[in-house]
Amino acid sequence: MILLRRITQIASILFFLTLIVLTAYPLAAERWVDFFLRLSPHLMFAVLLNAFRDLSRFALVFLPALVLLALIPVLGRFFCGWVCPLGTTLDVTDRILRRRHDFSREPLKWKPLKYYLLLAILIAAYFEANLYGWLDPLPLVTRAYMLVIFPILNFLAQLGFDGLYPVQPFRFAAAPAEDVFRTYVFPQGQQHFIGHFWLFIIFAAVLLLVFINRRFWCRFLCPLGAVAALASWSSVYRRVVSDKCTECQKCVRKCRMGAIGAGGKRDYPGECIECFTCVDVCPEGAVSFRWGWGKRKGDLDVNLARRGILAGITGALAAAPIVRLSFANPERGESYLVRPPGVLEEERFLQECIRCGECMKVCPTNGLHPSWFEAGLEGMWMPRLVSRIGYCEFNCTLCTRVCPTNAINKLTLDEKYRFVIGVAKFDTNRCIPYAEGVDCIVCEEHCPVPEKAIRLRRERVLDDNNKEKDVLIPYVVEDACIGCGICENKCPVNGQGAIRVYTIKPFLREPSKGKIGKEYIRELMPGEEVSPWKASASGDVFEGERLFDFIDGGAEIYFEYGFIRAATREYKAGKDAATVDIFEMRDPTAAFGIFSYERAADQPAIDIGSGGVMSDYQSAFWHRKYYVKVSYYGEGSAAEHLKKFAVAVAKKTPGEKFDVTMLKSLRADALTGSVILIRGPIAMRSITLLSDIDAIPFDAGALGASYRTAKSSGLLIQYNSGAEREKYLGKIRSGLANKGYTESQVKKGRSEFRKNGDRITAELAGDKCIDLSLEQISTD
Amino acid sequence: MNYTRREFLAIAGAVGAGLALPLTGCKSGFARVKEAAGRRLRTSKIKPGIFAARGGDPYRLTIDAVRAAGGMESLVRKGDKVVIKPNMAWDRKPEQAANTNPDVMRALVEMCRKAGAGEVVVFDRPCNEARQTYARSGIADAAKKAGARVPFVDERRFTEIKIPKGLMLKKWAVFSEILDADVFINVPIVKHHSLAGITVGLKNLMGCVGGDRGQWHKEHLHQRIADINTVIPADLTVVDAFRILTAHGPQGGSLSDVTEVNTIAVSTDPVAADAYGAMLFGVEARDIDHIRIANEMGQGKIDLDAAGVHEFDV
Repeated sequence: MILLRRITQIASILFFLTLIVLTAYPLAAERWVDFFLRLSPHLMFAVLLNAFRDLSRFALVFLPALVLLALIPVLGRFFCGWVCPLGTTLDVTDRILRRRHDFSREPLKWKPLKYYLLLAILIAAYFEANLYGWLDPLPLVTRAYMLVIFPILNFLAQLGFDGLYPVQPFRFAAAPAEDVFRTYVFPQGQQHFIGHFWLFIIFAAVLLLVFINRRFWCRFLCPLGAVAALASWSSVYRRVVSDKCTECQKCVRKCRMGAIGAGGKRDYPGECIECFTCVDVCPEGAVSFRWGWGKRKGDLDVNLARRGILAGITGALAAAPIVRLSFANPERGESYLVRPPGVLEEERFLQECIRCGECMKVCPTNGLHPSWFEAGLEGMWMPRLVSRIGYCEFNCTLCTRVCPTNAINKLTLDEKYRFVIGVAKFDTNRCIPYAEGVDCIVCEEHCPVPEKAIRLRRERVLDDNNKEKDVLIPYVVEDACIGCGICENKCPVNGQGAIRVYTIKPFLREPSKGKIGKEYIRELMPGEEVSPWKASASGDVFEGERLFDFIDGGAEIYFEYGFIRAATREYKAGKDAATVDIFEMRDPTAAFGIFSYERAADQPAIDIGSGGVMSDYQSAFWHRKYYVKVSYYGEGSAAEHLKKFAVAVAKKTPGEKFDVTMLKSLRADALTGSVILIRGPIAMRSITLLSDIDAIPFDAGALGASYRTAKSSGLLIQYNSGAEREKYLGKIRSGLANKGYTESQVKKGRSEFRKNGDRITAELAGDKCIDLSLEQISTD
Repeated sequence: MNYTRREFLAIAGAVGAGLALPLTGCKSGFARVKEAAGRRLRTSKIKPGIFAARGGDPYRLTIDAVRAAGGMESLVRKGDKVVIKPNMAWDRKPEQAANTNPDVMRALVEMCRKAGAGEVVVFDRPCNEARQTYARSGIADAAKKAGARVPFVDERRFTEIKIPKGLMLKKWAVFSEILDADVFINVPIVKHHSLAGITVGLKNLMGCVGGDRGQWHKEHLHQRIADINTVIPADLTVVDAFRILTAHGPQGGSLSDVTEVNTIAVSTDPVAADAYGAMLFGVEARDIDHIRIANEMGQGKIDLDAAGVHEFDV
């Protein structure tokens, strides 16, 4: 029997180790990798107590545990002696560490301790405190092998191979071995884990307890052992001692569990793990295992003390709040706590994660690490993504597929693409283009989101020699960012990334909302609602500088206002044709700006979007950040068709009407249709009023708006602040003086400048605007 | 299993010595900064100019384009070690046009094999996780089936080389397989690139270098690309423009950014190959700084008329 047990133990631990090796891309044994973790009835009880609202989530998870639980009353604690990888590990290390010692001493009479501990764990679980993930032997041993032992073995093996590598005859011999090793055993290469040392210490401590007793963990602490012990208290398969026993004490001394009472004839119930050592060592052949029914006579008392049970309950009542209250607010507190994709609710995750480390082992970029206090005490050893070490690979769902309790929900690739785990933000003080004015597009280049969550805009900056040059400035589009962290990982700035992924509440982005950028602007195009018109082709989209391909000449003005992309499509109905152009601008001000620039002052207004105009062959309107143009080529009544198209597009861009704030400071008598918003030098060219005067710092964000009234033409300028207005008012004054104007103050805040028949009135408007108007007056 | 103290010490000593022996080699191994010279071009009988096959499937196009240029036998000799460097940088599928088409690779490996190559090596240093990238790109599978070795980049197998003509780079580490190769074939795909403008063959050689490539992007990327091209020039550039990525490059991901151009072009002139790629992409080669700089440094012709374009339909 001993031989059979040893073979089973070896087979079991080899199976366990094989599963660990297979916990890696391409995850050939997906159904099996979490097998051992789902074997624990203790975890089953604890997790169900904690998360009892969602029992359905665990229907299949703990099926193996249920089977095991059903077997134990019949077969006894065979799991501990024959199957458990931690038990087997302890058998080996115990043997190595205490070869010559006598095991019979049990200085601590702690057998009941595991029951108190189990009680405490279960009560704490009911109060939603997760102690079970720390104390169950299966997560414990899995974590130890995956996060501690395997990396160490990999390190040593690699050291050996690296040592052989440069020496030619060795390299030749070692290369095939290394190939196998790299391909199959440690395919991820050297993994590192934050806090590896402390995990090592903890595991070592469990092993070193042998210096008190063999299988100390199993005897006194193991909560799974306690469950198994309770279930096997009156096991059907039991040790029987015949009359031949001479009470030589040999079996008592050799029993690794201290399950046999002094004398050798009586047992402690639930302690025997059926290792059959007692059968083997008995010189008289008096010990055997038999099937039997009914209550056993002569069992020793485990001495469950009322005091101990009370201590267990009190312990749980103390531990639950301590664990739960030593928390970190994941959304506000620890800004960088990013969970693996598939974790939706932090609360639930804290209940369901058993800290086994499978996800960390399988992560191909070594990005998942055990957290220590980032997620509070309770979150200790649960996974978090440390992007600077390893990012979340876009096309990868491995961690969601290995989680034994589905604390990380399984994701399909399509869901993974939309699963948002964090959001990237720039540290503009350190980001190379922002801080140094030098191109660097590494984050944008690596952003895996097809429409790009990091985009680039061209900005003009001054270089060292005060010369103007263009720099590509990256920015984050939060609507597209999934928080995968590859940007942070690849950022070439030393130390912390100049872009970092911050905590958010994870969510699965709606597929329709995921359609942004090119796909989204295409969706704005009119469809069936304009029938009988039909689109003659799917049309084109032009982004960034490709606008020049679309508008040959005259595209610069779009960039001046702030251009992102444009879509165009042709429609036909019989002989008539129409085109719809939709321009996505940087912001509503830009959309209004280009709209105002392109409209003619005398075009009749129509009430579409935030404002529109219509002529014989063209209608145009702007709304939110879109500027839309419709052109009609045909014989029929243009107005009807133009309106139909415009309304169709407007319906797809819902939202309140938008007002450009600065226009509120416009004179009451300004003709609305004549207003042109000015955001840069190109639009400014047609304004002669202030030619050659540096009156508007466009680069700093100042705006202009030209207008006409019945008698005058004017220019409203909005500065960023009152102080800036003061500064530029001075420049305007001296500039006009240089041109030969004479100034006279009419009243406070209002001056007039005259030259020949021109009169320019400058008046302060609002807190940061200047209103300039030019009037021709008779010189008589 | 009981040892006396003396026995134990003897065993420990023996084991220690055994371990120390290779470890002494280890020291010099890691310091293997052998400052090698760059690679030398193979003198080949491939015809000068650009040979572009259009229409048809990528496998066919590749075979016909190479045949038009003189056939792989004009370049590869019996027993040669051939390195074929695709663009296999991103964890994307072939139809997303972020990586070289696997059928192009299959055709090239087969042709090299047929021409008598002793060993054909295909590799890249991907930006995404290497194993997944190799698999999803379809290249590892295609190349292996055609008879190539497809190793992952081994950090120990980089050799630092001097770059005498380099302006921004004076030396840099290069994957040693290239330096050992008798024939080196560069197989880029034509893609948009947000900083480089477009990426074709010259930029593709960035996949052969070690160290922190991210640093290259910080200013002077174009000069660095041209610099590295002076030391590891390809004997043949095969431009994969079966599909090209027109926006959101170099990684792409959206099929709406992919355009089918159905062209495979072959040239011994790396600059002309890039200029041809630029033409297919619809930009002026002289507007792409690294192509212009490579031309100015004398690495090849940028003027397509001077280079000579032979286009034909399959």
